[in-house]
Amino acid sequence: MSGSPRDERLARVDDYTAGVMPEDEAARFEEELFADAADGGAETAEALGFVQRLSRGVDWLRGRPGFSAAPTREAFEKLRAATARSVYFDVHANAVTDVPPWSAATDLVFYRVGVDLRGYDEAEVVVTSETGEPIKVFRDVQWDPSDGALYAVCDEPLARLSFRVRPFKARVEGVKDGKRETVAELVLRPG
Amino acid sequence: MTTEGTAADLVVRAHGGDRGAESELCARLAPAVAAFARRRLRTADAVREFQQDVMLLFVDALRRGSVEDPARVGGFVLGICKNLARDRVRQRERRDALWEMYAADVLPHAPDAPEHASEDVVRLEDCLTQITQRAREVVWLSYGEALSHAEIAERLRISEANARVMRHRTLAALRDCMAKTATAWEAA
Repeated sequence: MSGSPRDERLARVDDYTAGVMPEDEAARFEEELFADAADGGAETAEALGFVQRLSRGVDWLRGRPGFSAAPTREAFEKLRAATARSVYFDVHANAVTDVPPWSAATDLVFYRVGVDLRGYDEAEVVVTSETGEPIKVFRDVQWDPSDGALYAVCDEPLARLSFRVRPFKARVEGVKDGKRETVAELVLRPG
Repeated sequence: MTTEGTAADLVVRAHGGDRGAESELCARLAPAVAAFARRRLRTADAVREFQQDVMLLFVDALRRGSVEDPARVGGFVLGICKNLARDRVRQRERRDALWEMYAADVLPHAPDAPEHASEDVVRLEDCLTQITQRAREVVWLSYGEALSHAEIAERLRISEANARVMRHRTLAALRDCMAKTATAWEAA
């Protein structure tokens, strides 16, 4: 931890809720925690609020793709077969992909990025706007060992924000023997 | 009516019928109650039910004016938590009656399990893609499987101290990411 009071407060709240704080220390901490919460202490409120949001979010994502991003083709296909309301599309390497529309009732959006990352040690996907402004970086993406492609699954609300609002570019970068290189460039636009 | 003020002010005003003050106190204390429950209970449903039960008793106490020392209302609510944790059976009987009386007032502070991906979930998903696979595993093991630092260390084959540091760093990074007002996509 950086040691900032915010970070320390969050670490203490996490130790407490995780049950790793010893009982005598936890008993003292509880007194302080409740008194501070009642007084509207900002750092305590932030830490408690975050832990609550995270707990609820993780609970909701249980069994969904947020954590297990179906990195293998087999897992991807299994989840796709089990999802009644889904959409699938291929993202083409070094070409423009027109993302198909989908209905508002869609639960999960599945897509395969046609790259071959076999032989790389790690990879990430750098997403930018059409004009090159950074949007986000997908870190540590996992690829299927059999074909090296990226198999991704996304909850519909996030997929809608990602794919249906504007065109964007993505650069798939691989690291091999400590050297980073561009594996493929992608252009996606709402179809 | 303003909801600012010290805890003691809010207690007095809540007893006087100020529902805004009552709501503010509940909003401040509900996350602490959830933390208390999360330390002792492992399922989300159990935590949610415990939190609801405590808040029902708290609202009842506020309206009856039985918070004897308003300046120590935090300790008062902690006391409710401790008593409830000691005797769940007796509480369950009372809960039904209180539920009838106060459910509508307490529900806004007692989160239901969401049926659809909330804004928070979307933001969490967005943030999870921006951390390493190892960090994602740490979050899942910590909050999905409720493992201790020692158990996470064993699962990831790292030292317990490293597991603790990694867990706390990851949480701080996620907190900062989720605190943003928009996902990376919306902010672009």
